[in-house]
Amino acid sequence: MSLTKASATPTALGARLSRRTGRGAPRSVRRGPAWPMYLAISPFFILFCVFGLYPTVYSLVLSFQKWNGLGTPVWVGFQNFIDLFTDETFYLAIRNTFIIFALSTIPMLILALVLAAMLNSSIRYSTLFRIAYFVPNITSVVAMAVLFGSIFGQNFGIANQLLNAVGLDSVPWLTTPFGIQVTVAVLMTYQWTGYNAIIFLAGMQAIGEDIYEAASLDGAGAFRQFWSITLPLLRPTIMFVVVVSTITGLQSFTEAQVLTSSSSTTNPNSGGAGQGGLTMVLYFYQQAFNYNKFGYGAAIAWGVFLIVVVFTIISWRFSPGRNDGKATR
Amino acid sequence: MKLTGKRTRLSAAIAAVTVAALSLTACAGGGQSASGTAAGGDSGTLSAWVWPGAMGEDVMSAATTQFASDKLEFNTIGDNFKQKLVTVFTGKSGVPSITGVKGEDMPYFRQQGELFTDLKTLGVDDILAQYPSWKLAEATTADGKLIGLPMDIGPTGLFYRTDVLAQAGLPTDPAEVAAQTSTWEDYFAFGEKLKAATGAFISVSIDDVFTKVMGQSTSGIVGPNGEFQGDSETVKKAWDLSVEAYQRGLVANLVDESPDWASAVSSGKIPTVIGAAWHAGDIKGAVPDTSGKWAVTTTPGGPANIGGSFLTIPAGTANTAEAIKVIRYLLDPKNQAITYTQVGNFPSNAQTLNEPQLKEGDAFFGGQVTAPVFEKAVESMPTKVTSPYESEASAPYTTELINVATQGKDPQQAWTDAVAASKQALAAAQ
Repeated sequence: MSLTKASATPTALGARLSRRTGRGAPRSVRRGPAWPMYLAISPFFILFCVFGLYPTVYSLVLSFQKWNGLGTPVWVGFQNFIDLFTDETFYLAIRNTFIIFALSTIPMLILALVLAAMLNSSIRYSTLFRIAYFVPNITSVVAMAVLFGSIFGQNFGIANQLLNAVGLDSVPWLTTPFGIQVTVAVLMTYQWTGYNAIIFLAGMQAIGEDIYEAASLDGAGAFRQFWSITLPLLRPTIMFVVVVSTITGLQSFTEAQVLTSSSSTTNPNSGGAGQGGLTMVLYFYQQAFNYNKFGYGAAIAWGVFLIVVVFTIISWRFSPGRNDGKATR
Repeated sequence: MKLTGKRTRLSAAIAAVTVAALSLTACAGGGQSASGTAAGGDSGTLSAWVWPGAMGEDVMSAATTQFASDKLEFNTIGDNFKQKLVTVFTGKSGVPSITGVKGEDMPYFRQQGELFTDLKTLGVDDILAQYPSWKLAEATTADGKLIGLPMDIGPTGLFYRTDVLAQAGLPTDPAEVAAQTSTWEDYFAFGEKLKAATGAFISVSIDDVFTKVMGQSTSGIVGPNGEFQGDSETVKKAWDLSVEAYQRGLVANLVDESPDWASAVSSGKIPTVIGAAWHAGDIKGAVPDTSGKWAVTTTPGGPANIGGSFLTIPAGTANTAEAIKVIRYLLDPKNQAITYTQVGNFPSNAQTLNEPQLKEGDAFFGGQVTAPVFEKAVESMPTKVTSPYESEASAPYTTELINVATQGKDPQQAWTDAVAASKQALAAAQ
């Protein structure tokens, strides 16, 4: 987002200046040369080029090479990508990622919407609640994952102790593939629900009070107002949240890495039992940083990128907010 | 956050996609945030990189005082040590003057001998004989350069909880435990008695057995010339023992070194742990409340050889004369003895064994003198020079073993799949 904002700034500024002088755009030169403005916005672009653009382009170059991280890279053409398309583990990683994505994103969005609606109603201490719901998002994922690792421990975790207390059997959370996927999804839901709720809340507060007043006069109850006013007018926000959640959800990494980590040097970052926690990005990390296959790692990263692009477009095309222009006309 | 107008939404989508690309690369760079201080070459400062537990705290502080005129500085780098080292080597900046290299990473760095100083050129001939030749071979490149001196070696032992064994009516004396667990079959029988009496397990996970049995052999999954030997007798034996341990119900099915593992070890649910000497440090750190209840004896089926790290001088270091002096100081028998008592790393220098500290009892082990157990293990310890691709080629075996243990996969099918996957991984890696 910051990218569009930053690149929009000079035009907006120029427009405002030209409006003030009442003349054609470049006459703002009277106030001095343009370079101070470019200088002012340059830090972002310099940092972006050094830490964003260059590594991105370099990783693309790297994906056509074989490189162990220290020696001389060897150009191998499309070999890494050919290997990638025939790599069963990569397909397993895609499947894992989508299972975790579905298990986390769908409940998360529904929960966030409900939370936002509750926060939007005039309750006491609403700022306190907003902060409380947002805190998980700014807490270190690693710290949370370590905590969740303890909570979901098979024999000594609180989750199983609670299940046992109500007479249910222990669940092997972190030692079965599906258990790992559920645990990772719970962690991601915990982490992102508050964040999305705050965004939904911002969208809700932009909806004019007068519409609700009119609805109340017409006799609509709280639920009807939510269904017929809040949801339709919130569509653009929902679209934004769905797109961003798709991008973050498909790149889940830290949660799975920490929850399935083992000190074992023989099989590091393999995603735990049945490789259930091996997400696409974790697989990339393992191949590049554990097995020193940086070229293949880069190819995986670009494979992930393509998948994320495709699914971002799909979720954008099919989100409810896309046709809101027509709907509200 | 009102996103109206088609153009705004399109640019939002483009921005979102860009963010996706950026966070991917940001992730790639995640491991690269090494904060290398003074570069080795051009300043008067000697920087040394080690990881937590690489050597005793007292040794490092004494060395800092000893080499104050060289401004010796230790950086203790946790987490992914190897990756941070790779980053500074690739970036050619912030490379330390002296750095530790973990035993499991040495096969990888050995491929790039030009990044390190050949220690043979720094007049170390007088001390080379004090180190085991097989350990020096691990740090010797194909063209004969010696790039590291060993800090420690990894003879294994069987660590066990005397209180839990006593509760199960089993012997607790190291010699008696050793006599009852001399082979893996004996150890499994011992484990069954233990389980019947206390419900405890003798292994954290099915692949733990595999790793330890492989550590007891002189050949790996990848042969000395890079050939695949993952279907050899040695590997099959390690596999079969792992499956047997699981089928006899002796495996706890936990993730090694996870919080659950620590709880299980602490509560006595896993009262026996097979590990290298340095593993004592991990146990002490994970379950300090069990101090005094431990003992250590010889490994079932004979000693295994796991880990053991090196000190190296990167090629960019200008002041190699002082750097080698620091290494000689750190590896001095007196200091290795301090390291052994503080973190458990078993000394690589044979002369250290004469130091008084190695003849003292360890309170954590109920006053047992632990060094002789490992000293004896060193005598019959198997040695091999590990391939850089060994860990990648062995990963499918652990993955498939865990499939057997957690998803009831047919062991025969799992073996076939593991061999195929390993063969493929090795071919792809080379």
